[in-house]
Amino acid sequence: MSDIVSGVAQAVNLIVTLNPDVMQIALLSLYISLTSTILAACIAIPIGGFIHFYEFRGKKVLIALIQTLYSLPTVVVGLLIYLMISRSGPLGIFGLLYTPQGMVLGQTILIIPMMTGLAIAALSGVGRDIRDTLVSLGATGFQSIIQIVKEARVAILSAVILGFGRAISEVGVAMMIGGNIRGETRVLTTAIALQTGLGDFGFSIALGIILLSIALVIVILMYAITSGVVGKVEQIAGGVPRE
Amino acid sequence: MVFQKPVVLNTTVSENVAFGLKFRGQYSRDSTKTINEALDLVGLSGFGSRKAVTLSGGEMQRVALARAMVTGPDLLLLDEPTANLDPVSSAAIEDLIIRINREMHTTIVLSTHDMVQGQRLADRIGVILGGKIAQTGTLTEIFYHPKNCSLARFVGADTILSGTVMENTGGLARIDVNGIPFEALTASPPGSKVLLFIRPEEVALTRPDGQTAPSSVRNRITGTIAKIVPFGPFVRVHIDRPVPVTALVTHRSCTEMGFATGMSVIAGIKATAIHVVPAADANR
Repeated sequence: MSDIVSGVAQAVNLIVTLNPDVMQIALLSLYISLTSTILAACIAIPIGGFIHFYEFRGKKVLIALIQTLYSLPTVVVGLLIYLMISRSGPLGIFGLLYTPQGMVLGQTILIIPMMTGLAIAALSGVGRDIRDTLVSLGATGFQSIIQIVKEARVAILSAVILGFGRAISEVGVAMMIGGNIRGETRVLTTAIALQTGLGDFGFSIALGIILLSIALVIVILMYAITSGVVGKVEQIAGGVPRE
Repeated sequence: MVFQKPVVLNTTVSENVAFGLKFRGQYSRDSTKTINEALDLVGLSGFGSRKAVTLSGGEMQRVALARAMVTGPDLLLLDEPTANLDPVSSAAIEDLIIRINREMHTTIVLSTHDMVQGQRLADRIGVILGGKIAQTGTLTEIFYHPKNCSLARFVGADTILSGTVMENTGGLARIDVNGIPFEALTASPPGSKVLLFIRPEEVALTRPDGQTAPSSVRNRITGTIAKIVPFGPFVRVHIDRPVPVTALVTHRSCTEMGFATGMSVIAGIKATAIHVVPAADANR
């Protein structure tokens, strides 16, 4: 019990005084996860768009496969990336192992399937009648696609935010690829794992609070988006007039 | 083109109207004026900055019309534009359709299930049956001169009788239908098989004991009422013997005349109200 009380007290102290170690870890976490999220979005949204807008053999199987990969274990991604970028691996010459860049690569790959799947779901939410309307107004294929993506913007944004949530909270890739090197690749999750093992509960709790705060911000963002705007998107997609 | 379901994109009303111009690369600074004119046309002046998804169904449909009209099309396609709207919004859309046609001389092709709407709006009508255009023509041609049985039923000529022309004097023929003589206008020669189409509102019912109908009514058939079915402010009176005939009378006159099932009545039909088609053509 005293561990918890003194831990929380110490944690509050660390956060309020903007402890450099804590801040450095939190900022690195944000940097790596945000970069991964942006990269993944740049890859996943076009792929999702391609899968949604073009008909091809095995489309359903591919979507099922992507949905399966939502629950891709972080340690499996960690293992695969490790094998790819370790000295003897095919990408060994770039020296990415135990660097933030390597972590970004791993997290990007980790969240691409989820973002792609959710982007496809978001685009599917835009009704056939919207597509027909755009065509009837003389939109070219490309102009239609741009408008449909705009129409699904809120749902696509939710997909991106969920991807960020998964990236910042994962341990597997961060630990296996980053190696939890102090001041270099130590992020919130790996630091919590380590400091707890060392019995430095105050530090762990402080990082945990920060991690939770970030999660809270994500939830608030999601809530604002879904409650305020997604309803309207469905309304348009269904073309249902508001009562 | 305007669809059955009101569709708007999740942006402002002005942006919605601007899409056609933007897709065609015709959008410029002066387009704001064009867009406002289109909104004026549909009676949505001042709605420009509103979120389109917050409008009612009828308003959304008017945005759709403005969006289609802003590019100044020669031809406007409307797919059951009032099917999902309440009567008041429907009337507003119908007025607009007429205005667009009269003032801007836009050719309009409109599909509808509503016969009365078709009559109100159309100059020419094409009836689609079983996926094919079965007949095209003016309102009179479609509703009073249907080409065959299915078309006659479709446009509401409920009474369809088959008979044989007995004699024909200069176009006024005596036609035998199950032993009952009918007089009607046709060019078919004696001996030919014909079909008679009679719209229910053309059949006037009187009581056998009441005063006689005007003498211009050439056909007076005494029959028995089999069924009385309410039909809005009217009732449909089905007579089954000696030949099946359906009449449309107002609720009030049905009550006043005391019509009831099993009662004997006289059905008066003018010779000109019967549309005669050679049987060979009608079953095609």
